[in-house]
Amino acid sequence: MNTLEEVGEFTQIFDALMSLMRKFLFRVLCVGPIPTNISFIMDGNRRFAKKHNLKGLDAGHRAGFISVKYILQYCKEIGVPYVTLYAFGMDNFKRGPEEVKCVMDLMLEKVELAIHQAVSGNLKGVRIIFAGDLNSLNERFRAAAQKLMELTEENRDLIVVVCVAYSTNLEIVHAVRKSCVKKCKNGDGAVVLEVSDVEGCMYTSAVPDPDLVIRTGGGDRLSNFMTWQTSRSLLHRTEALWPELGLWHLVWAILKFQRMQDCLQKKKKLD
Amino acid sequence: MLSLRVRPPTSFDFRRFNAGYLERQWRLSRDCFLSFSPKVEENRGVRFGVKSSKSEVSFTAAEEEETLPEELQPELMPKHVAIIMDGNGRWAKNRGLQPWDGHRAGVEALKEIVKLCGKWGIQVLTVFAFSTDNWIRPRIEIDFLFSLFERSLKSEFQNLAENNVRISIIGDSSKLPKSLLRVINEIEEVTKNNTRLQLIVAVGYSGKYDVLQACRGIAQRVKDGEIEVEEIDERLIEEELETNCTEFPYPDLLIRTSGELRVSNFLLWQLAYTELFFAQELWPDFGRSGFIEALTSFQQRQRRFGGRKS
Repeated sequence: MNTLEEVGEFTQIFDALMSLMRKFLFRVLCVGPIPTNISFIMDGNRRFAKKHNLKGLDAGHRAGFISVKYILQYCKEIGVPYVTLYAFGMDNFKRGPEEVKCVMDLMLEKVELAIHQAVSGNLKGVRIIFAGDLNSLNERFRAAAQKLMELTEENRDLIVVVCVAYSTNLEIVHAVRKSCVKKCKNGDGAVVLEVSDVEGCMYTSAVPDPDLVIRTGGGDRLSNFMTWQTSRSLLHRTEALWPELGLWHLVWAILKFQRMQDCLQKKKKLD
Repeated sequence: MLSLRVRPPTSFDFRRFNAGYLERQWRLSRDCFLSFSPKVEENRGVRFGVKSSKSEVSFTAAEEEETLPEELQPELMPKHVAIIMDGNGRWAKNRGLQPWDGHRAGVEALKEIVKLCGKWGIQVLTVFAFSTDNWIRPRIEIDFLFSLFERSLKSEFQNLAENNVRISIIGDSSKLPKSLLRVINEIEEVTKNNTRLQLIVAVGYSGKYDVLQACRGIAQRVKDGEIEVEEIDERLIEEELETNCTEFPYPDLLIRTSGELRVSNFLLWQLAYTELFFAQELWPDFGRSGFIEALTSFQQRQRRFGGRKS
């Protein structure tokens, strides 16, 4: 008779218990150094859909979005200040037009959902930044992305960089163009570009370089994702597909990062 | 990115290393560096070594053939392999040797890999010999490294020329000793028309430096009015990079030894879709078997370059 309420209560108790256990686990994890910026290459959505016989071109990507929410929640609880997500690369436009449209529509739907949550105060300290060549995307997405960035600009608890229409090579081209325009105005002497000039004009200039890159789906490559920024990052890959990525994968990756921290610090001092 | 692969720790087992080293030295002494007809080569082994002529290690006939091992398929061989030769110092430390002994062992390992690349149809091999980060090492080690490099180039000059290998050096050469620069220029000039294998040695190199120098060149051309800002694109930057010395500037496979899971500022732009392989062995221990494992792993991968495999 009271089944639904009992189930609801049971779920709440279970969630509270899980949350308490996570808190304890993260307290232990935080004894060691935590990466400042974790970046995720979210590979394996379509294989996940195929594995579980999910219908629809965007089924895998919808499952992937659920994974995004959990991972962001865990990162926030751990206290990771920055998270970067590789949502859609410039080379992904090579996929079938139907799939590209599906993914774009899904992203627009989620961005609009995030806008509602931001307006109603439910985004809880999360700032969202879109990095990439937004001019190559449709007008509606561009406008929604801009609005979401403005609404969440003041939030500081967790800064999420979502890379859309992104590729490092294009990012460097864009940065060179911008820094050329700046530098070529000054005087008649030789133009000397410095690393700081190029880095200052990159899409991801607002956030520090990733300390840890996690690639799901078993692939062992960077796929034109932040190859400049990840030159000294720890590269961790897992066979789990992106929608399967869970708490333990994240904890394992951070433990690995902590183990290799000494070497990483020495290399960083060289810059 | 390698953690799933568990290999026996060859670098810690003295006897295993000894056997592997003996086998390498024996092969080197009966099959000269990069030559395809047997010739005796002077043994340049490590100090703690070993005279190879009386090795008890069996030498299988398969290793002498020029054909690929059966695990590898010729149509799936990478055109360009890049290697970060990490672990010489640790290898020497594990044996209670000086760092320069590790580097000497590293050169022997490199010779073996170059030979295999030439035999197995790999067109370009890029090796990360000395990074901009390595300038902080003790002066004595840096001087040794450059003199070892100079001696190796001089001693292998003839072999490279005869075996149709082209050598190119990339990186910031402004801090290299003049004598080394002279040898480099000479060997680049003499081997520039060779076609069998191109060996690119990155000395004083960093990926960011490479991209930056390309961007500086482009920025100066914009300033001089040669090109417009809007004309700057990926192709233009690619043409200015130091890897413009080769027809295949993008590595298909990057191998890093010694278990480090990092790219360490090597070939930044060019690594966009390169398959990465991280080997646990230290570089002097990474021989033929490690190379075959890396190539096998490469051949099993699905490369999509952002698209979809239908």
